[in-house]
Amino acid sequence: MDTSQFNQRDETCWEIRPTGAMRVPAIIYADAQLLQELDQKVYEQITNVATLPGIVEAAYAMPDAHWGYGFPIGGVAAFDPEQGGVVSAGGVGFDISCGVRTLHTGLNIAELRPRKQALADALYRTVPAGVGSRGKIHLNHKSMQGMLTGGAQWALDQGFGDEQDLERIEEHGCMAGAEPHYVSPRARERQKDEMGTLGSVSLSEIKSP
Amino acid sequence: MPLNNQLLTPHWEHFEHDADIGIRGIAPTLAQAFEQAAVAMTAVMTNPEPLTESNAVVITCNAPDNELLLMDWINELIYQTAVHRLLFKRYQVEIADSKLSAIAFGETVDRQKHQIAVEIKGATFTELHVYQQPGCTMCGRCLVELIYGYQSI
Repeated sequence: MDTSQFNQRDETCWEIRPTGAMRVPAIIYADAQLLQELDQKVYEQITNVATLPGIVEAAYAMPDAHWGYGFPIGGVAAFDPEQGGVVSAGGVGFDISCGVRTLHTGLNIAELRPRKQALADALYRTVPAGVGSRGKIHLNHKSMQGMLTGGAQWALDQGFGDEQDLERIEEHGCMAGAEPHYVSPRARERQKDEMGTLGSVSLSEIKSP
Repeated sequence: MPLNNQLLTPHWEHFEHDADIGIRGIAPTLAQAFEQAAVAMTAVMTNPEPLTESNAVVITCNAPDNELLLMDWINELIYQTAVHRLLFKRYQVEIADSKLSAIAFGETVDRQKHQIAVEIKGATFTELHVYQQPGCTMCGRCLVELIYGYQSI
């Protein structure tokens, strides 16, 4: 990106002043070199975010910003509902809760490093994932409703975890006020054989600390 | 291939996107462009060439404009792939008055045989466009969101 498009506030803060339909400035956090390497699509998308109703103060892009869906990935914005603020699916992120979980193995790096590939292969064999995969859990209408209503507690009740797991999950794995009746029959159909699989998620990673 | 012939021959392409991948169908008619976009979608997951046509699925979609119709069409195929575990090789599409009627031909997923690279989560509004190119060919494109397998780091 051309840095001349920005008003540089400090070493790592670059402002795009509101023009056209922008309601607030757009701000990108990056050093000069990183900013130059960012995709011009980030500029287009973060200035579009700045046009959304109810946006508060500014549309922000973090140093990892890159081309996303509507919002740039790495984009941040707050919206005031009393000012007509929107809920943006792009801002929430389409991959939210896509099976990403961190598990403490108790292994240190020296123990893990020689076995990383074998562990990844074992996970790949053990955890069903991808097109055509089938897990061991198949939900009927009643159990689907129980899962959608009960969340992680439902999983515990089925014997897929213990109480301590709930303490590690946001909202204890069950958002109050959720309205599962809005989950469409088609979405339910896609999900009913995917419980217990990585079928709808991105990837499993084994990272060394 | 000379440019004119290339434009007149139905074909498909992928295009790059940072996070996912774009599919594009190009053909003399809108219906053929939709067929080609669907082949491009299959080709994101696996090579469509060796697939058989042992299964046929009838699909209909309605939408107020061609862009939304393309997205509905691709999302319907993604749904069929996910729920009925089918991979489609070929498509017969008819479009009239914003209504799409189609038959999709393919076979049941065999994970050993088909070497599936990724799964597709859904078609998106990003880069969604249906338009007429110079030479009067139709082009339909959109971005599909992918689900990757696994990797070790």
